[in-house]
Amino acid sequence: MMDSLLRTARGALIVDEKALRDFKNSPDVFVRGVVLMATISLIVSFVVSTVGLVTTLGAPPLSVQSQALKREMSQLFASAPELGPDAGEVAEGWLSGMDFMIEIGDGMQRLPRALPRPAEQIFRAIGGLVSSPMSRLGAWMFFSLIVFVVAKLLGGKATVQEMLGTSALYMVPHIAGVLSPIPYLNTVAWLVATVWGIVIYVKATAVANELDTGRALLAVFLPVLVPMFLAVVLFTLAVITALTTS
Amino acid sequence: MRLLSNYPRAATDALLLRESAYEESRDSDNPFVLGLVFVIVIGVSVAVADAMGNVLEWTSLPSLPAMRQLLWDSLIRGPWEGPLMDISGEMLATLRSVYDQGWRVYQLLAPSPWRSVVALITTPLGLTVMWLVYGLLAHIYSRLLGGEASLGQTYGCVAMAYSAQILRMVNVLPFVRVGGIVAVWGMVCRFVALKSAHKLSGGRAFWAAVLPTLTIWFVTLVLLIGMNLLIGSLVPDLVEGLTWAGGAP
Repeated sequence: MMDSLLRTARGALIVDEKALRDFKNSPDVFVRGVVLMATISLIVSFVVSTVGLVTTLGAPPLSVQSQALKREMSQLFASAPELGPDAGEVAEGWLSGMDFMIEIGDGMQRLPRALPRPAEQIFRAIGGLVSSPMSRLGAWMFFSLIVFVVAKLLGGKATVQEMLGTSALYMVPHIAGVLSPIPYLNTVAWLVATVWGIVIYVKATAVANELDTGRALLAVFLPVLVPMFLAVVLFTLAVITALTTS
Repeated sequence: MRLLSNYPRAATDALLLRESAYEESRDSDNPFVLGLVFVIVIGVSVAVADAMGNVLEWTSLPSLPAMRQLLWDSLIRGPWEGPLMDISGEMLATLRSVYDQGWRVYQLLAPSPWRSVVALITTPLGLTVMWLVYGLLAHIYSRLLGGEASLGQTYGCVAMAYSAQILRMVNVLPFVRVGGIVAVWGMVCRFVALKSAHKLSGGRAFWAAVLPTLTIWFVTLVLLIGMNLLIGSLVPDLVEGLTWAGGAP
């Protein structure tokens, strides 16, 4: 199964229509889609969680971190003449607020608990590792169901299993999420993966529903554009009402 | 009749939207009883997993009373300016009472062995009640939309759709937040269940799956508004009664 999934992933990356159609017509397309999506999500989540855990466990005590942060804040305030003559007072207020929050955080860390303290950090890392793919799966499924309904209204022919399974291929470029702990590169990787993912999603919708690209574009973007349009209309109406009544 | 040992396979198939699982349930001798047992088994499994994760989470966190006291001490000593610095006496006692009230509410939601024990009973019970209510409504709507299954068959297939609850078993790991996936996946499973049970077209099965949920939301909303209005109309009478009895100024 993994071998054929890898072949499909390669086909999805180059938006190969035949690869998408073969995937749609494969037995258990929904299971394959979910497995592919869960695998990529878990790989990304594993890298992000591991880097996060190592950083947290290897970090200096909170008091040391707070001193460094305060130094940076002081330098920031000192190098901001636009704050005017009150800059010193503002800085003092900020720093004393920070001291207060750090004291609470430090106190919380020192409180006794049944298991040794690193247990919480390890548990939280594991929790994050699992929660992140779950929420991604939930969001994808919710959106795909709306697209499925819109595609049906536009003449789509997919079953729910075919629609969900094929659209899961949008996740393939998101393997670039493993770069997210690297500053600067993470933004570029996210942008590329998002645009690439949208292109695959539109093509997958077209193939699964046997729609032309124009209708597939409508099916994918209408669920996003209609609520946005309604929000703009409502906001404009609210502003007009407020202006006319005042 | 399907044996209990077949449930994991049936649940997996139903979760993975394989129509054979729903058809098997529809064609069994007693789909209602099978469905009832299935929902209870799922409910208990989910509750046990949830309880284990909950206890692990509880053991890794500081005790609530210690956290409450630490936060209170910090708040009182905080870097406040103006009137908050001079707070004392009656006002301090009122503030403490509001603060404690907030913690009591949080205590109900925070991980604890007590909450785990309660969930062991409420989770299977809640799922069973929801299954009974949703199943009945789904049956009525499906029949109105041209469905042909019996009530027992509807219940049997809808029970299979509760396999989406299996996803909640990841809560055996502490600090895992499942989010909305169970609700969304459950809706897809119910769609497939009603399509298979009543042999409905995709469009009709969609409405048969969605309308019961909308009905439940609508009735809940009406009940909440009704209760609000009832409490709102009773409060002045209560205050009046207390005033007459000398219990309020």
